[in-house]
Amino acid sequence: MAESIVLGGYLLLTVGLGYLGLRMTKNAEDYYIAGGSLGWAVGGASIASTQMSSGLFIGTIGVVYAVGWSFAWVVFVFPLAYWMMVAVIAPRFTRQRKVSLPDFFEARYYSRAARVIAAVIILVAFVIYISAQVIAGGLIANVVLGVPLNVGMIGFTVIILLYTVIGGMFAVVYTDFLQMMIMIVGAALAIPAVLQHVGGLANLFALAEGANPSMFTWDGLPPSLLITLSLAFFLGAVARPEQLVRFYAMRDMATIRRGIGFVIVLVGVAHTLVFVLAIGATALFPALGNGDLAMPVLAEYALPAFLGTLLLTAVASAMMSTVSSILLVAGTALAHDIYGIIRPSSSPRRKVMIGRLGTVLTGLVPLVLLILGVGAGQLVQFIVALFSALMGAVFLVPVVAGVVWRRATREGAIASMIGGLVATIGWRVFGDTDLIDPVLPGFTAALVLMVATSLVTAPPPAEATDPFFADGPERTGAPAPGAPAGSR
Amino acid sequence: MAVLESGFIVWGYLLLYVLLTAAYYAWSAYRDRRDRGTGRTTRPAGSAREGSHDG
Repeated sequence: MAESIVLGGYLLLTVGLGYLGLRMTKNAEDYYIAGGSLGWAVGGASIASTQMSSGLFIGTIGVVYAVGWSFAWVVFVFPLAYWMMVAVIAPRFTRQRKVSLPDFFEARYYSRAARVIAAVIILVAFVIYISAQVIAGGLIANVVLGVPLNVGMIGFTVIILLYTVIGGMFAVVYTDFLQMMIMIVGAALAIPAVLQHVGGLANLFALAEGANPSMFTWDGLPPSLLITLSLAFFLGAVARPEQLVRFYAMRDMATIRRGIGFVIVLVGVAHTLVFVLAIGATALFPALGNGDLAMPVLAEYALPAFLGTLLLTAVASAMMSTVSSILLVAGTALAHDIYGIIRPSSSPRRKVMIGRLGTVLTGLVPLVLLILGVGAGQLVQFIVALFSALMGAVFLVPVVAGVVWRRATREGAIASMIGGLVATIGWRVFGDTDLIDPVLPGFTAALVLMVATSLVTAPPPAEATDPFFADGPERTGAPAPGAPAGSR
Repeated sequence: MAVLESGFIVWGYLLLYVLLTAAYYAWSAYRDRRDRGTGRTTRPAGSAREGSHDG
């Protein structure tokens, strides 16, 4: 009964917010970037919940369970990455309000090819990433509700598609806000129940230390490994397309700064709560064969039914908030950056319709492939393992160079994206990934290619760089207010 | 007491995170003051709607 109330209420609220998004969406700019009107609270919570996927509640808790609290120090990369985004990237990146990262590339690098290459990389990587999340969603439904895997995958996809397709960015950010709050509340309410089981905070620490002697030492994750891992996380976090597009969705720079402050608070609170739950799982269930089981076991055996379901709803929330954001960005790449070039449309209604169609297609393709038995194997695991590295290796250099180095050229940007992609995949296939994360050779190749290619090619024309670099008031050089999104 | 003996790895983490957050907010407030002082508009050009959607 408690499970039905929690899950049913959550799903109703989610779909209700999708309907609210539908009511608020009047044109393509509303659909893709919420009309550029988001305030700091919704914008910040949306960035934070998009960053925190099921990886936090399943993978991260499992790693802390296995290696101890030393892994928690990796979290510092997130405030630093977001601070860099808002201090270095956002001021010039948002001078012209676009609706996607490929859009920015076309404007800054005066190149439609750069836009299409970025859109194709986003589309392929995101669609494959979504398929892995669909499998995970199906598994959660299978475990919690006892439905067959295929039914779980279909239900998971249909619910996310429903609110993302009808409500666009408004629905995505409002559900992100709700999902972020469920993550915090679910994890926070679970902690007193865990403390009650073990007999207080002091006992919790003592039991966890007894179960895992490296829990509160640096032995589990030596500082050298911690630094390498943190660098890889940092490079993968700074220039994510699904995060950068939220800068376009927020009102102005002051709002973005305030929103990123909120992100830093939410990321710190959510991660710390999850780390404490990992200590709880270590203290209560010290002999789990696989750390990834820590959260489900904790929810199932250590918490009352209501709290256990709330915690599993938090896991589902983490997954759904990330998937809906990625789905919308992949749909934008297909509808706006690829189809929009082939068949430009001037009608606002038609633009929204094409945006919705793009989102439906990018959501249904992975589901259909999975049901047909295609893509459930190694390719999906391969891309998911590489996803963060690919984002860092492909997009970080052209984004940062685009806003800090006026001399960066379109040839440099294209060489950088393709070189970063090839080097990352090449290292994953042929290199020693235990020693060096693929993002490091990928990022290095992208950086070298950007600098070398830009220096040997003709400088960019002033009309392409002036809107981003010219002195004067911030954020000038864009079309007049009221111009349709697609014309930019 | 293991809770206290856990030392820097736990409590240092919490303290540093709080300090980092405070540093960010101080920087953000400084940038806000600077933008207001120079009369810069921080609203991006484009067709953003008026008003906030903070729910």
